[in-house]
Amino acid sequence: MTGTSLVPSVSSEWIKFRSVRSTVYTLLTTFVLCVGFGAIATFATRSRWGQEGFVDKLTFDPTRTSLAGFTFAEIAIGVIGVLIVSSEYSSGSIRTTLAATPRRINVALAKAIVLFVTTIVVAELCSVISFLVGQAILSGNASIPTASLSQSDPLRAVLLGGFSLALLALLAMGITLMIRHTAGSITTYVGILLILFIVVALLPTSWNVHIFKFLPEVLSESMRSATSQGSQFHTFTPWVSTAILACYAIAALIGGVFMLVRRDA
Amino acid sequence: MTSAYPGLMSAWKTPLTMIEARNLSKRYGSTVAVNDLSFTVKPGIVTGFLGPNGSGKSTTMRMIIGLDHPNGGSASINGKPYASLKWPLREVGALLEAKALHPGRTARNHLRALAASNRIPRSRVDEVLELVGLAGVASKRAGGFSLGMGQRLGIAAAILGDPGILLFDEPVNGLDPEGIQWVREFLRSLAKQGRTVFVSSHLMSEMSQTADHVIVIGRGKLLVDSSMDEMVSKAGSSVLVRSPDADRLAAAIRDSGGIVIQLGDGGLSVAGIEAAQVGELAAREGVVLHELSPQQASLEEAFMALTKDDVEFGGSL
Repeated sequence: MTGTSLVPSVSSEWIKFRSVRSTVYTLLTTFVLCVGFGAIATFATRSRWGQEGFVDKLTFDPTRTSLAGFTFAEIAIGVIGVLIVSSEYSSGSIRTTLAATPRRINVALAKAIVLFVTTIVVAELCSVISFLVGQAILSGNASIPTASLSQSDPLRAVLLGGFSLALLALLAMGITLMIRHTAGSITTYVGILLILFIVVALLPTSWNVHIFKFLPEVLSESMRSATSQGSQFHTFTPWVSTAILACYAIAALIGGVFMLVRRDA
Repeated sequence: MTSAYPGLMSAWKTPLTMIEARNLSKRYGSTVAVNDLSFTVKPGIVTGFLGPNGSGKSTTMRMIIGLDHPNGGSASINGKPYASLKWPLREVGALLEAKALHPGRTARNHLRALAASNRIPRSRVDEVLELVGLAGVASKRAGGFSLGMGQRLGIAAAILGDPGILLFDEPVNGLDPEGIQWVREFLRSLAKQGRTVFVSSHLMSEMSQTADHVIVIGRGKLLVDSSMDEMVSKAGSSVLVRSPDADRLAAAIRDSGGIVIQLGDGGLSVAGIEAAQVGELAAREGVVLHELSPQQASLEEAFMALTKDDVEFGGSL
């Protein structure tokens, strides 16, 4: 069968995605957390600027600071990636879906496309607005350096930052295709994002410097930094980090599709 | 201009629409759910799929529509595996469980998403909502629907693509008498239009009023595959006799090869010989009869007798 068109599956998934309230609420939550916490963190930085050490001031990255809300947005956007799959299992509608589209890989691809397109739009919006709000806050103190989207590194950081959120949503979706349950999937996703981080921090320093840079949260931070200076971590370059995070998302999706196709619905 | 998706009142014209199971088997760990099951479901009639709870009916239906993978054998739709159908909803409609839908989505959006996946025109959505009597609540969220409304929405989804084959798993479960009546007539009308209608139930009495043909399974194995009429005649009969001299009559019947159960009050339940023979015996013995009536064994009894060894979770009485 030469490639059944994906279009009907995508339009079906799009109708499903936009016709439940949780989608809108979770996207809105992502935006509010991202911009809100970004603004608070940036304001705090401005307030204690006078007490900052010489090195901290020298390596200060106004772009990364204004995008501090991403730590929270990463969790909220993951919930969207989880729900697009787990809500089908919790309601039993997965059987209706798979009976309508027996080519299960098409169901997974259509969901991934709808999820990616929606989250990339919202995430870039989060990123740009957080950045602009943050720079406005920093410019309240003339001695603090600020960044602008007309500079290449801050622009790259803002765009890749948004991209990192969309990749994390896909990672969460892939995890959920394997786990199927809402609570288990969210726990696993948050575990990979935050708890893994704590575990690695407990390892001897000589080891963990080499491991930290592979963690999704650190990869995402490297993507949204205009400069690697001033980061707590030894990181890959932003583009290498992007490639690694994309590999994680694709690997999770491949694993998920494999299990979706093999298992009974 | 005629629509590509006529209402259900028009006749179904596709000549050959069959479901075929060939040596279908399914294991869950060490439990055998379906065991070497073969049957064919033909168009134009309602075929009942009977078995006690846990006998493998739902598993069989899930395998037919490709949701569960068989461990052996195969199921096909018009000779092709379900998974190879390009637009399955236009060939097969299935109601597998009530409310297999997101509670937060409206009835109309649920059906629109399904229609989009199989390139079924949007106009068909309102058409089927009208047909099942849900037009008034089309924009209400399905989570608030009663069981009966959920069942109607499930049926609307099944007929969305105007398919020639329909599968319904326990469609009347939990419905009120009015709802049961509605489903029954709806199934019969679908069959009358020439469609293949396959309905599961664990109640023989329910099927006797709906189905023309029955397939009975127990512990995943085929027990009966016959027309309803044949099933009725196979169910066997007995004769009820009442006489003030029951003991003498009982002895005479036993002598001529009948089986007698004495009911007390002068009543005898006789099997193995016909009512006419019982009358002749009574005349010969000079025994007065107060009652002589042939009894049709109920289908329900026949069904229970058939499956009594195959009930998975039997309670002891």
